[in-house]
Amino acid sequence: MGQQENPQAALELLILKTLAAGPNHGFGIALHIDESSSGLLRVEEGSLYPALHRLDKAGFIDAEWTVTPNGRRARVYSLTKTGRKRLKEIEESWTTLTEGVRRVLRWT
Amino acid sequence: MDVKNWFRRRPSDDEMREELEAHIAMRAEHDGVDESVARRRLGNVLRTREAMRRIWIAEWWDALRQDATFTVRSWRRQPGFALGAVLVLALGLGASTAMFSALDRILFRPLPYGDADRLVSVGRGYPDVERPDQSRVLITSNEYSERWNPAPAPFTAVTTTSDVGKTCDITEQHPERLRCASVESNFLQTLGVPVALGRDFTREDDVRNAAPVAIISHDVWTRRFGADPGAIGRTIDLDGKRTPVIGVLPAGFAVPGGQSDILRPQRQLAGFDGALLAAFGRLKPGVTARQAEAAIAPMIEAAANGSGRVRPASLPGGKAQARVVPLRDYLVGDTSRVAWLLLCAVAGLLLIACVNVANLILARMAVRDREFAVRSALGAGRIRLARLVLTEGLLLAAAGGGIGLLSATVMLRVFARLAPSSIPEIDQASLDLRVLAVTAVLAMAAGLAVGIWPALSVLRSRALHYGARATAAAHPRMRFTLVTVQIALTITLLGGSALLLRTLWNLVAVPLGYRSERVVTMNVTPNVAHYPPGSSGPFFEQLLERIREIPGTAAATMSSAAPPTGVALAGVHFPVDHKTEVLRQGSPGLFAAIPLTSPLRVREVTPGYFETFGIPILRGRAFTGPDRTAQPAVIVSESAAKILFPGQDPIGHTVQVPPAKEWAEVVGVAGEIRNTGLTEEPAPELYTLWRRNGRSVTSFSNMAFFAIRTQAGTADAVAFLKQAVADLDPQLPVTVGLLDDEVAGLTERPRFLASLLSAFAGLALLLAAAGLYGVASYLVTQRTREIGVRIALGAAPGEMARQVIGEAGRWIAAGAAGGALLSWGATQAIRSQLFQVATVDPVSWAAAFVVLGVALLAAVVRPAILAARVDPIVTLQAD
Repeated sequence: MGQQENPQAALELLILKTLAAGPNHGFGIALHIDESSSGLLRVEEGSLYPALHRLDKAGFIDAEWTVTPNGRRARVYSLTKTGRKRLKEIEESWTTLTEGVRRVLRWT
Repeated sequence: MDVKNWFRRRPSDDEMREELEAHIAMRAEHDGVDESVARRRLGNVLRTREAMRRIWIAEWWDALRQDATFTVRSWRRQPGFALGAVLVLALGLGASTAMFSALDRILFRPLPYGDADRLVSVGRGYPDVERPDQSRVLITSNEYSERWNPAPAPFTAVTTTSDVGKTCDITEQHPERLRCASVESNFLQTLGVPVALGRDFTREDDVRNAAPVAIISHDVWTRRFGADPGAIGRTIDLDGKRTPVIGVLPAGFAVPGGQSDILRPQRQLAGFDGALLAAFGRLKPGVTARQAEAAIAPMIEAAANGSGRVRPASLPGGKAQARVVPLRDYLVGDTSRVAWLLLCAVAGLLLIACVNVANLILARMAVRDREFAVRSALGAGRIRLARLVLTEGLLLAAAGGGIGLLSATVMLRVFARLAPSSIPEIDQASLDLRVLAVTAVLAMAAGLAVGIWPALSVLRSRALHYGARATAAAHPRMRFTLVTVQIALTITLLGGSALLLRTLWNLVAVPLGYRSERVVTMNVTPNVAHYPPGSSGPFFEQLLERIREIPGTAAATMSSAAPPTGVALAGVHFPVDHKTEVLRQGSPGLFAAIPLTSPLRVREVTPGYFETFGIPILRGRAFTGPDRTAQPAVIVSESAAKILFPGQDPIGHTVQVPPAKEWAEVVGVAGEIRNTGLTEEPAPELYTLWRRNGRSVTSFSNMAFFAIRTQAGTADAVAFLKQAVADLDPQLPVTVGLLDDEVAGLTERPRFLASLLSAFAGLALLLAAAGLYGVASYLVTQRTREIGVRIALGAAPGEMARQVIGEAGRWIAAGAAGGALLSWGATQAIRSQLFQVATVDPVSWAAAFVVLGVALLAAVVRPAILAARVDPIVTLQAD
């Protein structure tokens, strides 16, 4: 997907990381990000779905319609093999980036 | 992005909507709030969905769709333009498609054999008796048996066939006349074609007096056995012999050199000894046909020098060279030249059509300048605009291709009617997937070709910066160039068709030496089961009696071959005047020194032959009824007389006509007839009498030609002839036809070429004239202001008209000059098809240039008049 501007790259990382724990639907992903960041990160829902579809088209995630335990039809996403690889890559670069930024911030 | 990701399934709009709705519902449920609150939290649902959708649509596709929609909308405003352009392209593409499908089998389609590129025809090249411009590659069975087993070094295998396409009869319950071929046992194996069902021949099948077996074609299997696998082992009565079917050929298989329904082992049949075989070889990998030819030449040479039992030099045509010919060349022969000629002609037409449409688009562009300027001002990039016009070209070509396909089916049928025998297998041509693919590619290429000019003109134009008027000057040069190209191509087609028309004219004017009108001919081959070879004499005699009695018959005859061609028996050694000692060719006197390439023809006839065909007897007399039982008599043609009895009056001399051992007296000299086609010098002929119950040459071939000259209607005569045969043998198929039609058949190919090329040239001329008219009119409109000013300043209106015509004349001249150069190259390709016309024939070319000049000048008359009629007041007021 080439170079991405930061917010999108961050959202992509969050989505992929969430899905690494197991298949989930869009709302579930949003909820998970919300909760696991203890409310620090709130996903912009309007950009969540385009991001999901972008990842789907790129082949990082697969989508499938299933029925939730609540009896609701939902489009559930799961990580593909290339998605897993992608996650590893951007996780690493993200860690490097944040580490770098952290060090710079500490310097001054 | 990976290419494979283009093919990931795109969720439908409904799915996208449902996904978002599910989210809203879940959010509402989770937060315990109203749905509207949850919806607001998602933001603008519509925009989100649009964003999702855009992800799945490739940008280029989206733009293309926009361009297409826009283009089609603009056509609706100007339907005349779109219709004209599509029709012109449809014409070009349709003609190309039809031509390609007609010629595909000859030029491109793989032969129905395994690894066919390594298959060759091998043997000795002989001039073809029927078509002297072609040679046949043959070998005698004796030579083959002695020297070709095992296969010579350059080949992995060689195999032979004989009697390909010979008639054979199924004589059981549903009698049927079929075509059989006799083959060696390794025939299918060498060709790389396994039987579809059953087994192949074995060596044991292919020996003298072995039990008869047959392999039938897929077609016969379907027709006679209902495609039943149980057909293997069943028997058919083939030529009166109970013959078990041992195998079925795959569908689409054809024996090289002729469609055959049934294959039989050749050595089983009588008459194999000394027969002429067509041999085929499979080259070892890496060996070329030329190398193989050089390799077998000594072997062929040695056989010709007479160490074998039968000296091949005694064959028609005599000594001949070793030949190894790729199978396709062997099958197609010189037709491939005609085929390429036709392909080039149709490509020229397509090119002209493309140029014409490109010109139309450019003309419209001039009008659309303002629109383009506006679009550009609104932010459309130059590339985007160029893409728009390119899209228009592609769409036009796509529509043209579609309509062209429809018209191609019609054109293909016209071709097949015009040229049933000039193009082999044209009756089997159809618009299959292969042809469709070619049409699609052609349409794409045509689309690019017509779209590229306007696109270039947009890219180069400065109108986008300086406003509407600036481009006007940029287009005409391109448009005139295109018109010039069109004119050059047109003159080439015109000149070519003029040459072919002259050729046709010359051919039709060739004196035949016989009178073909009111003559009906019939070819009869009795069923072998009822009349074994040599026993059909009484049947023929009976038939001749009946035919004589047909009402309106002025003369009737039976012969071993009939004009216009007819394979006659040919020989080399004709002892004359009771001298039998063998002398070498060229020795004085005793023997005829007969040029080996032009053997004497022997034709067996009954009295009435010369009367029926209207062949004049120049000296002596024609045959009479009593001759048939009297001493042998012979009539020679003028040229035969010169060869056999140089400087003497042949009447009263004697000659021995092989294979007979009797001396026959020359009783008459007949006029020459065109017996080897129209373009070749007539071959010298000897006419012998078809003797009643005598041993005749014809009795071997079991075939006779009958002919009557009728004073009644020819249609009645045809019916009577058929009836006469049916009265004697109701099941016997016959071929009855008018000699006039057969004579017309001689000119079929030049007629086909001439009519096709003339049609192409006519269309090309029409398109060129239309193109020139368009440019000239545009130019006048463009210069109305200038012309108005000049007239106001005192220029004569006639002067203005002259100027327009003069300018057009310069472009015509430029096109014609370019065309002359192009034609010089193109006529080299047509040379082989011409007869008594030089490629630089002044009459043809003068005619072509005059027609072109007149038509094109006529096209600029109206624009010239418009120029003269410009009203200075109106133009000046307009400013």
